[in-house]
Amino acid sequence: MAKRIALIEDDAAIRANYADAIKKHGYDVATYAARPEASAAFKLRLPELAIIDIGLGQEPDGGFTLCRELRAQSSTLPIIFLTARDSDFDAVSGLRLGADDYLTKDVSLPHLMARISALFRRADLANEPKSQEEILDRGPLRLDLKRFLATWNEREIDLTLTEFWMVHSMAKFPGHVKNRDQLMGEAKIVVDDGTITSHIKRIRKKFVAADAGFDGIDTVYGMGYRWRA
Amino acid sequence: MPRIGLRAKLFLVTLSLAAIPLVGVGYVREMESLLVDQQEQNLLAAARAIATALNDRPALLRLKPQDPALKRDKEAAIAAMLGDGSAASSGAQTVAQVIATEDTAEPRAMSDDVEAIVASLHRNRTRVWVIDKRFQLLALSGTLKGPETIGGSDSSEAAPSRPLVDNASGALTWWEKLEATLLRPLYARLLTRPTENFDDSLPEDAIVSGSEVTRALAGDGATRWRSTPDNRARVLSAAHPVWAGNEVVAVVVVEETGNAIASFTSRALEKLLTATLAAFVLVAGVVLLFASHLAHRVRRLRDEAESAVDAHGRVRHLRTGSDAGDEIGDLSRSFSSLLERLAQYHDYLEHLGARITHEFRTPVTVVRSSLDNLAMQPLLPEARAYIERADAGLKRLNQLITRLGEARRIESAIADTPHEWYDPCAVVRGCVEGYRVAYPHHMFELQFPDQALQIRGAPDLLAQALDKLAANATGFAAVGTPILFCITLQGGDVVIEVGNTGPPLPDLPAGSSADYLFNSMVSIRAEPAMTPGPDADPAHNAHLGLGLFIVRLVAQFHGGTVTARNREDQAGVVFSMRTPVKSA
Repeated sequence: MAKRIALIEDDAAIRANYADAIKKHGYDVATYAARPEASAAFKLRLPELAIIDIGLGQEPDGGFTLCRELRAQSSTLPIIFLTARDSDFDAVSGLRLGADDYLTKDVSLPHLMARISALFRRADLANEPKSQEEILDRGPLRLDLKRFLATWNEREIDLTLTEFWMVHSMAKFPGHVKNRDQLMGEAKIVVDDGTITSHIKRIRKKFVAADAGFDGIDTVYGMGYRWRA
Repeated sequence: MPRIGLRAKLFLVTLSLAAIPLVGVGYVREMESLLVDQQEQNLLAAARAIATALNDRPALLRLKPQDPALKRDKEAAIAAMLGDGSAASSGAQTVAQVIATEDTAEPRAMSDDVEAIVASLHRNRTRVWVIDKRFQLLALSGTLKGPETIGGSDSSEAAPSRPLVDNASGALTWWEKLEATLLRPLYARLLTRPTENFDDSLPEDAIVSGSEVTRALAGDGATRWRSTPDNRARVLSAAHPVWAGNEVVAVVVVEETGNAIASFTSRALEKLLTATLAAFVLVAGVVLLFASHLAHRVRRLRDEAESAVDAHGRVRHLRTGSDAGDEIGDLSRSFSSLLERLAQYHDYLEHLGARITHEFRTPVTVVRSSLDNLAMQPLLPEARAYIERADAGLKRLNQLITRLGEARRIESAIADTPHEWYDPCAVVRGCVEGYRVAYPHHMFELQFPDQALQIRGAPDLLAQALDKLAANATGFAAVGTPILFCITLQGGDVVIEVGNTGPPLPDLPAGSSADYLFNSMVSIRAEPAMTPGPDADPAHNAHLGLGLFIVRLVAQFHGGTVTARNREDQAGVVFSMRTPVKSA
């Protein structure tokens, strides 16, 4: 049975385009233009993944409210924020509410699709026994590339998909400098340099929260970042 | 235009109060002349009274014979009185001769009866004398000086201050002290107090040639002012004829000094000066206080207005207008509403970028998702080419939109970036390494001092600023010429310079400040003349003028400044960022 994706977006053209693309990739899609109708539908049946726009019609923060409601109903449901806003503040608020990823609308459809399939993979594998594992071990860091799980000294670090891909990109070849374009390519996003910087900042913060002495990510000014070997 | 404060101006206005003592002085002078008139009338009346007592009594006016001893005494007394005590005085000699000649004719003495009458009508501080037609002194009584000063003591000059001196041991009020130390010396300079220490001798020419005597002999009462021989006092003499029948037989002359009036006048002037001085000090004090208050309010208003708008013309914070009902309150309120409108406008401008980014993103997303969908369809090769072109255009549009929001994002990033101490050389070195890779067609040179330097800021932000400077330099530098990154320690500052060979800085628009280039949305590039370098990113062809603005934001975050100048040889430009270094 096809996975069911809920798309909550107030702009009709974007909604239709995204819905078409998602359908073409073999998913079922339910589209909603406003928060009340989406919440009403979710009370009857939860989707398997939700893509939510933050500003919904008359509610500038309707997407945040919806995310909170969804999280209350299910702690595992993958949620992607898709928004025209690009401020750090919005990203942080969205991620704090438990979204799995935060994308600005300039993301291309193939990049969006890559995220959707990755999130589904993570959700599926979370319930399966750890048989065919694909693990990357770098000292205290362990990356489960199938479940998109990162642990540091056995403690799980709650990374978004984008962040996980960035960490993976750096940790794959420790000591090698990854420039911003490479990081963007591996994380399947196209953003400006400042956004990469704030992503790295958030990743550092998450690791530091688990281990105050963390300094695994080196900034190589003018070039990029590298994982400390 | 010299700068004169409100206080100084109002103080100058206060000087117009000086007109009050001037008017007062005029008034006192008027009164003085009135009093002088009065004194003349009085003295004339006194002379008339004495003369009336002597009228028609010719017997009294005859000089009576006298024994030589008495005569000598009189002579000596008169001589002492007329002259200054020395027989050498010509006046004394003359009078002595007068008496002597009369003695030879008919030894006579002054009439005791006349003296008695004169003495009975005598007044304090007046001198009365009676002469007959031949200018022979018939009687003389009284003195011009007060009773206490007879004997001519110089101490009389100190008389006005004597009470104070006497009280000196007792408690003096502050006012008395002030008067004694400040006002008295001042008045002594300004006003001449009459003195009791004058030569009160009666010169012979005063008797003989006085116009009032002449007129009295002619039958009229008259007055005359003359100076004492030593010019220290003015003496008023009033003469009145004594009649015997229709004939003038003698003249009564009454003399008095003008000291009473003079001392009254000077006392009045002193009081006037004291009063106006006090009034002046009071008014000046009040005016100064008021002016200070006004100046303070105006200054505060200015400071508020100035602090409300920062260097970029942005309204930082608003103050509510004062609720004072006067013009300054009005000004304050209109300032505040002006600033509010300005703030709204700036707010609008600042949010315009954000709104444009946001509003543009949606249609761009529509186009992008449509193109992406289209790309998934089986298409003709020509159609693919069009899609690719549309895609490229969209990318540029996207970059533009992103860059519009960049300055704002950096501003908010700066706002929540903590300060830390770090070595700028390491950052610059790393960045230059990166630029050698990123801009392969340009040469990068790096110079930095041997010692370790520490500046306070954020290395990430410095790297971002260097990125902008590098992008700027590569945009202008001629191919094959080096771009020089140079770190020097100048005074207490670390100066990071980025220099490149290329066209000099453009002429700034008239009236703009030196850091105009670093303002937001300022881009001065001679587009047609500029040939994009081989490293130029097509998307960078659109310059929004935010790069150097970001550099300035970062410099400010480091507590420093940023400047741009032409190289000495005019063949290139140097951008320098100056930030304070940690003192060892």
